[in-house]
Amino acid sequence: MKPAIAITGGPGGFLRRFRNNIACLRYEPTILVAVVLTLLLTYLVLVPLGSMLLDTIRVTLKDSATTGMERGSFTTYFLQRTLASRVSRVLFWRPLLRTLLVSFFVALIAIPLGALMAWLTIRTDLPGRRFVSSVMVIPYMLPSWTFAVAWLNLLKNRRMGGAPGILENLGFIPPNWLSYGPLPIIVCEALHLFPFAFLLFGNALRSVDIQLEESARVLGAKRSVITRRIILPLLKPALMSALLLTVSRVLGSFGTPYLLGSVVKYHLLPTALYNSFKVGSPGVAAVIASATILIGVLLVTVDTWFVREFKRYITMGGKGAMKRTTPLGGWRIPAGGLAALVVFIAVVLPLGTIILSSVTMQAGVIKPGNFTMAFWVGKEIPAMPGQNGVFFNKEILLAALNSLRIAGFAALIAGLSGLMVGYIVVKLPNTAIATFLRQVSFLPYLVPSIGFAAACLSFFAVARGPIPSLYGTIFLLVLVMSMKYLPFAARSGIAAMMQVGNEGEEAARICGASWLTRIRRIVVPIQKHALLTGIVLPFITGMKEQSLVIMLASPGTEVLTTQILRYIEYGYSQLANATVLTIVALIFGLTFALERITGGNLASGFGGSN
Amino acid sequence: MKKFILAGLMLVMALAMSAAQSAAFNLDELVKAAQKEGELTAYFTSSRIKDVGANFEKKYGIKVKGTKMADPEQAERIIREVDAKNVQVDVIGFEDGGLLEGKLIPDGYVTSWVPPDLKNSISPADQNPLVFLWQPRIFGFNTDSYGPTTPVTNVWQMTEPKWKGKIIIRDPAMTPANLAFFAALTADPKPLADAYKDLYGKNLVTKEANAGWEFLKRLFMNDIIVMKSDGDIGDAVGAAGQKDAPIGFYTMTKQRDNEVKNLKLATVQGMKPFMGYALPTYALLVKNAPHPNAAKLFIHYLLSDGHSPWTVNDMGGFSSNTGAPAHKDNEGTWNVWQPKLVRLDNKVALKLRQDILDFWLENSGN
Repeated sequence: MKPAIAITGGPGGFLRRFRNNIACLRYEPTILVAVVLTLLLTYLVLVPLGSMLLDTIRVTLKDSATTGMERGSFTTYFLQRTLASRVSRVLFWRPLLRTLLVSFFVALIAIPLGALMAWLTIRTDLPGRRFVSSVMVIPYMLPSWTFAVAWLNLLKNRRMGGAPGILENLGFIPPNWLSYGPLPIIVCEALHLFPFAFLLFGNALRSVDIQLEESARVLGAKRSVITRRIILPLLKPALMSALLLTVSRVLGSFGTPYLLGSVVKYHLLPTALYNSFKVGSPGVAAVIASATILIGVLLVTVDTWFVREFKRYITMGGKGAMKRTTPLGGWRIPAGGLAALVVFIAVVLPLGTIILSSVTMQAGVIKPGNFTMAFWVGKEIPAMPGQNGVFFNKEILLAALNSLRIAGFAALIAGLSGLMVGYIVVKLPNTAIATFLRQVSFLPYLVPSIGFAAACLSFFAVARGPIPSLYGTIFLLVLVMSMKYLPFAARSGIAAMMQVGNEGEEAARICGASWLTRIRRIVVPIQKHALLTGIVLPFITGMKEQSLVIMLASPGTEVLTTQILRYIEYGYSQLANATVLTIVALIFGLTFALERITGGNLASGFGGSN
Repeated sequence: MKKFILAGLMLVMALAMSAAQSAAFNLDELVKAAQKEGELTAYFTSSRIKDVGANFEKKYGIKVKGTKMADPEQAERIIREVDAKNVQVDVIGFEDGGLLEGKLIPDGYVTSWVPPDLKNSISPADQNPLVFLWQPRIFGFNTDSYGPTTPVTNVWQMTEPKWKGKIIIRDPAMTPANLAFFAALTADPKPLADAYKDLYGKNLVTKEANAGWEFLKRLFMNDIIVMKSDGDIGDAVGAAGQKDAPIGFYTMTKQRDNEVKNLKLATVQGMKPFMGYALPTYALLVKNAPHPNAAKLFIHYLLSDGHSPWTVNDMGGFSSNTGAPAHKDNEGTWNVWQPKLVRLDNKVALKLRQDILDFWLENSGN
């Protein structure tokens, strides 16, 4: 059926077309929905980003106070100050360089480690490989900053205030380079990200037909040649994706460099952006945010290019593929030991220190008599004025409620609008409006979380026309989060709608069903599964979101992840750790519940942001 | 046009109200009006707002939602809240005098209000804007490491290799009062130049503009450590049993934790030419606040209660109410303290803050 909408013009005057369109709208409001969605996305995504770009050359009130320039006037001062002044090295260039450096080393650790673990669990007879492969995704399910919190529990020294770390309590005082700065940031980010490489390479390895290797071997190729000439080229797309993803993750993640870098003045771009914002120079912050967005766009462009380039590798032939595992022989035990070590370092150790810290009276001092449940169920904890244990702590309970509400509504909005974007893209193929929707709904993916938050904050903080200022409201967090997660929902929405034919809806239409009835009785039931995943995944991601909300949360709209940072800053390390565990418990609970409902393996779907 | 009329009307009303109030201030009426408003939201730079708020609630039955918040964040919020006409906060305790006198007061975001019945007990210099609390922010050391007397008698010693990586201050980028302190040093460099000569027996030769800048440069480049709060600094410096504890720059109130947290903090009594600076905390009313009377009552309470922290001369804190009794651990009255401390000048602070901040960024190894 040809869509009943004459959107691409044709003969007939404007008026006739218009009248025709109105008539069509009554039966087919798809176009109306498309227009509304377009307007909404423009206002919620395009305009804030544009406004922030404008802020790089426009004087805001805060800057007018410190620089003496008139509010609203235009200037190149901020660009100059950030990019070419005596402080630009400190404000921008050094953090940029460090971001690239850290990304490089994170990739250098995470990718080989992930690839190795993937190979061991998929292609060899590693002892306990099923267990290893299911545990391996846990670090990725944990919020990225969990590792930084664990690192501090274990290794912080006197350079940072508050309670000493576990090792210092045991008599070993870690040197600064071990406690803070590039090394811990790289290790923590790598531990969080290697499961992603593990999943990517796992999928790639599974699709490589082992017959390719066997043919080569029959032809007399050595192992090293097979690896170099066959396996590695086939894994190249996975490698590139993993590499680019690592950089874009480091570019957008705030918690880890904030917790581990600030103490020794080691700033990455996200923390540099946050600092400029905190110091009260929004102009400079806008320049840095724009730069991170630019880099983000660049990365995704390169990634897209690679994906297109490598499409010609078809690894699944028509012939039956064979799967065979390589026996490890004498290496079986060492390899098993290595896998156990990785599990220990990436899962047991971080979670262990966090649990330990949350039940010790003097944080991290392991001796009988020092264990307590006060930070869980206690009331009026000594030396922490007005604080109760997690279950009786009003601040934490409010933050938990906020987290649930914000992530919940955001996920609902993202999931539904994602499905609608999919619906429109599929129903109105090759129209300008569909292309526009597809691209704009993808745009937030390019923008690092903290940059997107900065843009939305500066735009929505001011009353505009009939829309009041959203500053300090939960609504602001919901909006920003739902737009940030829209790309994933829209992608899965488009994919899901593509698979459904038009017949069902057409039949219903012939029977006289209205559009709403069709959506409610046909589209939603068919897409139940996709919708559920499209809502629950952003919900889980939202629960652990920190980079996106750190600048938006305020007293009253504090969420669990920002509350943790406040506790760490107050030196309430046990409460911080107990709150981390609360989030982890919520995430695990939700994930397993969803897995039970959908019967799928969700771990691989953990995209989201940081 | 409408806006102007409205603004004019509001101005007239405000003038009329303030005239009426100063003519006949009645505390009981203020209490009644405040109690009708029910609750109060306060942003203060110190976590003590929670204790003081609880005491205030006990006395007047008005709940205080108090949040500890640093100056830049407070300023950000107030500007946004007032501009958005969605004001949450009623009263603030603020330390960034430069921003206050340069922007927030002239542009009407906040107003200074002195309780009329207390006008005579507060020094005129502290009334505009209203200071409710003075604290010495001082250099302090660990007595377990260095014994009871100060290991540094001249500020220039802190720029020597012996103290490399062992001086802790609050991050100046986030602590406007520290920027104001540095600005004051560069604006009046003579004491530093003299102290240099005292210590090294020769005149200071410098490429910087004066001894103030040179001192800052050497101090910053000595791998100076930054922390986010005075509490963190007090803990890091004062932890018992340390061998070579660092020197910290914190508000003297932290020394009250010596007993509770088993800290070994002591002030660098006798260090020349200064031991630190006099840090004022201003109390201000926020424009269009939802609970204006409760806010006024709270300010009145801060200056008159005589029991709560802040409202008496507490360890390390001096009420600006000159009638408040002295505290035994304060090593003297506020009059004894003032000559040992640098006095901040809000106009100088505002003028120099960007330069100082840039100088800090350039030289502190960020």
